[in-house]
Amino acid sequence: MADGETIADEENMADGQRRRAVPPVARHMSLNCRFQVPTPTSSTTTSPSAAKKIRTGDTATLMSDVKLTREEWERELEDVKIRKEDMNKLVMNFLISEGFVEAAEKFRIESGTETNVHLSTTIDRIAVLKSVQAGNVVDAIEKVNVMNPEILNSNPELYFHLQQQRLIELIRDGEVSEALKFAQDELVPICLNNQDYLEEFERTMVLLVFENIDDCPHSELLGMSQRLKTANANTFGRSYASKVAEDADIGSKQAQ
Amino acid sequence: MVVNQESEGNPIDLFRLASRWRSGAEWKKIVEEMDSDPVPSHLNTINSSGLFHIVSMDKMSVLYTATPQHGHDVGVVQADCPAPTKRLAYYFEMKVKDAGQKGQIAIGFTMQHFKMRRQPGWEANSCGYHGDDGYLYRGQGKGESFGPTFTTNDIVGAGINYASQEFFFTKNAKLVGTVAKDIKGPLYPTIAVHSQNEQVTVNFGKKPFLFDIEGYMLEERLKQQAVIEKLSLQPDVNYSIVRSYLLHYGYQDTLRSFEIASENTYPSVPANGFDDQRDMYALDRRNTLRQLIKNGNIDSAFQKLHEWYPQVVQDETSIVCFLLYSQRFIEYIRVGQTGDAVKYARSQLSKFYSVKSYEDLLEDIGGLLAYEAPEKSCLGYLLDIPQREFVADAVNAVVLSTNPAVKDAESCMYSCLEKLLKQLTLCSLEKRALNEDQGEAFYLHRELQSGGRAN
Repeated sequence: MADGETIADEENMADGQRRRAVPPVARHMSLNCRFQVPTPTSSTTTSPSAAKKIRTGDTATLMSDVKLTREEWERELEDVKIRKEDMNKLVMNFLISEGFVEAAEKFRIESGTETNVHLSTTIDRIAVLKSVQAGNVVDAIEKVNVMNPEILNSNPELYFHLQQQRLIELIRDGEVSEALKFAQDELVPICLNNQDYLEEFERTMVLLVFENIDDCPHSELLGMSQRLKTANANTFGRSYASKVAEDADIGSKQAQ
Repeated sequence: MVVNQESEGNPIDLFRLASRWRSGAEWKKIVEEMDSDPVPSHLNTINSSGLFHIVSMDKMSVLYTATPQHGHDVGVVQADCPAPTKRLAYYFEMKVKDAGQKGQIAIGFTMQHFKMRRQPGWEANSCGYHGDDGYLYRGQGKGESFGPTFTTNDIVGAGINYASQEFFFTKNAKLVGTVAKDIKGPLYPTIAVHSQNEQVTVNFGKKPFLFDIEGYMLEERLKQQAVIEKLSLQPDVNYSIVRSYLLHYGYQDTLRSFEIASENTYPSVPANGFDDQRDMYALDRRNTLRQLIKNGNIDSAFQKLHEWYPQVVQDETSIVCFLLYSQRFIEYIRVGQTGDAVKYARSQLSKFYSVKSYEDLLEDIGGLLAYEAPEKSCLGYLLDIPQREFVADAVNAVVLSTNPAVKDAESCMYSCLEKLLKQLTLCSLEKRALNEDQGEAFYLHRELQSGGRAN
């Protein structure tokens, strides 16, 4: 409810009085805040910021006011605690997500890092990844649908990128009429309601205009990087599928 | 001890290796200290005036008992401590048990020295969502139209989103709206009642919230993730970092497998700034030593070290010797040869008792003798893989430091990945400190816990 008294008071209050309300309270509060900040005593705290706030002792900590020497920074770096176990997990995650299955297995042995990703889904994923890397998108889509038909339905962006890749492959192989037909039949419907897809699609179509595709301003679309982007979009999509596959796996085992 | 030509014999502190955190219990304590922020748990009975309202015995409800006469007899209660700031967002809820005569209930945030007889939002540096008119008040007697009114049996929530610097309010699990937060300093969750028989109960998180706060925070994180994804990196920078990591620690088999598998994807690019030559130093031998230690074959590891790098084991009381002797003791315990373990301790470990920094570890390994099944005890971590990894990493570091091309022995302890992660963590902490310590910082173990949720 609106405060009847303040409104009346506001009308009576002089301008100076009204303006007084905000600033002193704010500054008072931030000073309070500063003194409440705990002083780092042992090396077990990771709050280098606290120490610095007390050093500057200023109300407003502007970027320009904070001056750190290299030594101070390096000292604070040493206080940052990172566990080897976690770094190993990070590397393991990288090896698996990127499809380096054998390396992941070797890493498991050499470092003792465990992982809960099932090897079977990994092998499937690698198969999909390899198809895309080899330029065989039709095969990749088939494999994805076999693994988990829902994936493409629930990830329209992934589906678009796969189809875009197919179009790129057709253009690269010089199949102009095939490419045009594919574009009209498959890609146009997907892009109709989506501005982002439309722009990407148009960029891809430009490839057709150039006889020598290397002259095309968007020729990076043809390179390895585009294939890899798709392949990786695929594998990220895979982490959902892996989870679903695992759940389905567990579910069917329980049902037996 | 490592004696470099340049240094005056300063040993590298192997207890700064990332693998020294091998006790789960110890790490848990460290983690709890990181970003520890007190969290509100109940209503503050000390500063609430108690004239117009009563706070229940469990300190979770308030009832307005008086008859309101004017605008300075609001029954306002704050939480026992301010909202924690070292997180993405803070949120709490309130259930209206009884809207009383006029339903003049409010929820919001105020500062420590708020005038406790006024509605939140009626005074400067406070903010309140009022149930009787659905208005939002932020520092003036007049509010602005904001959302629906709320009354008996409604559950309303108030929160602070530190990433977007906004207050947000919810009613019955739906987000009502947001407003910019321009108040600086600690903010107390606040509730208020102002007409006869109004009663509300507050929930600071002990019970599950009606509003999907996790989903809300996830959305915010995805927004941040989207910004990050727009950054373009060199395409093979991941490869270089991982390769350098494997080289640094001497994981030779993995490295070989990794290199073969990435031949086609990553044509060999001499990555700038990565010290390949330095990391490749003594790769075979380091790998051999690591394997010996991993298999518990400490005697052979010692023998090889004496043969290949005698300067490293010259000082019998150095950290690396201490770790190796301790590990030998642990291996005796592992196979149940307690008699031999004691004999070994008497002859080899006694010389370490005079060194203060070895005290803790000595105590722990000695303690292993007390248990019939030491692996099940609280000292069980010493028999686990991370302990062996620690010793192997220590040996790895000292061997790397024998490289004549290395000027700074300290740097042999850290891989590129570790240096990067440390910089990342510290930068995020600095960034947060400049934002009045509000928001989430980067912590590797937290990112791993939430396992790819942003994917």
